[in-house]
Amino acid sequence: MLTSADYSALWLTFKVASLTTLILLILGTPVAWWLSNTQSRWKPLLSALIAVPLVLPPTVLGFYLLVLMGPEGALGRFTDAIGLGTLPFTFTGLVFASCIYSLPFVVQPLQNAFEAIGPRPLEVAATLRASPIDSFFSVTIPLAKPGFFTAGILGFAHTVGEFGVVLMIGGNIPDKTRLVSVQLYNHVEALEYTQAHWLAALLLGFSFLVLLVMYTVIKTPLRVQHV
Amino acid sequence: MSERAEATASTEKDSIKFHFQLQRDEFSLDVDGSFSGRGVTAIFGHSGCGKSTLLRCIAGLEKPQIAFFQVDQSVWEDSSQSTRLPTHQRPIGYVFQEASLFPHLSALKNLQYGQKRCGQSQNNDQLEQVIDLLGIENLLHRKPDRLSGGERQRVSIARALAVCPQLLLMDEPLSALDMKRKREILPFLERLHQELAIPVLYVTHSPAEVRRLADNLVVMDSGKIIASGKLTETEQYLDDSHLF
Repeated sequence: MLTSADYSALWLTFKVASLTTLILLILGTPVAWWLSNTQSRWKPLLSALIAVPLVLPPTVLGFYLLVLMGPEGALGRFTDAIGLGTLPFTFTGLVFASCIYSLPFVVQPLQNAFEAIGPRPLEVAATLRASPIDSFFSVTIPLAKPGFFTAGILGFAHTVGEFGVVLMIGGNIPDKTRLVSVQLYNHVEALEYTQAHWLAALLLGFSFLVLLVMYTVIKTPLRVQHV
Repeated sequence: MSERAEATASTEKDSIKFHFQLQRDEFSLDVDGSFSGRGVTAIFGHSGCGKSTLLRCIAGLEKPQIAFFQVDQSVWEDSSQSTRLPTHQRPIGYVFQEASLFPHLSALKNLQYGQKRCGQSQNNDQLEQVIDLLGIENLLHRKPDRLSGGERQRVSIARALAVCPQLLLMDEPLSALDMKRKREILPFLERLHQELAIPVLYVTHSPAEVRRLADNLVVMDSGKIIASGKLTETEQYLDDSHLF
């Protein structure tokens, strides 16, 4: 069965993924909202930037993040100056990198959900005396609920599955930065195939379950209702 | 302006004054005139003539290049002074073509959405009156997807009235409904006509609805007003419009 090192990796993965998802839902919402409403000429640029982690090899992303967060990098100097030290090989660094890595998986479902709502419900809300901020909370967010659900699930599941980025910036420090995907790799390296089977099956089951729940709960994802 | 002023001869009773110019790629709206502060004024014309756009300008849902709108003594919008009330600060009720109820709220919660936000939340008599007027007491606890098209439109009319508007704007409220639903709602609209003290602007392309509901008529074509006045004086345009 699972060893205590396995449990520790699982728990750490859960913490990183939860925190990342929470941060991304909070930061991704205004970004997705802006993207779904703007006609700015900067929109393609920002959309492309956000989508980069979808196609980039994770090791490339990890490499640049390592350089950026290192003692000579812009972010590294900043975090050092405010007394946080440098972020590579720390939990904070992992969460930061995961946020970049999983950003498109949260922003895109939210953006789709906001776009599917369309302008009409907000016009209705305005004629019923709701200010734009009021109607965002009382109309947009409730109507975009399936989008938030999808964004949360995809963001979480994708973060659990990260490997290349973690290896680059998280290293392999037990209890600190050793996530479950790296732990699986360690088992295979050490030819501990039984252990590897347990972890791999667990991750496979988790991924399948998550998607099953998503497709069961959101039977008609992001449907526009004109009632 | 002078030639239009003749066509839209404003009488002193008219307390709603407007002037809008809106340019779009394929369309321009250029209207200047006044509405009566009482009764139902139908804004009539074939589709694409700009009647809905005019209504949206009045509600502040469009941003015309030139805009002036005044009800009694209060100016809602004057582009020459750069004053403009945003939609949510205009004392209007707006009924959209399709009912547009919030799908995540029950009929009652839909009614209360606006009522809460216009400082009327304590005024339950007023809400009850509106519910009674539209005959929707049995529908209040249903979600919009459990209501028929006609019921939804009645709830959305009630919702527009629950904010105690000073001006009711209705954008083809019957056009999305079949004949049977139309006949179901028309009596309620006639009741509104009799019981409401506020002016109503009613956009429609149906001569029958104009004859049944309106006191005054504004006829539009190609983004311009071509006639306006009491229905008795302008009724011939309803038949002319078949020529368009």
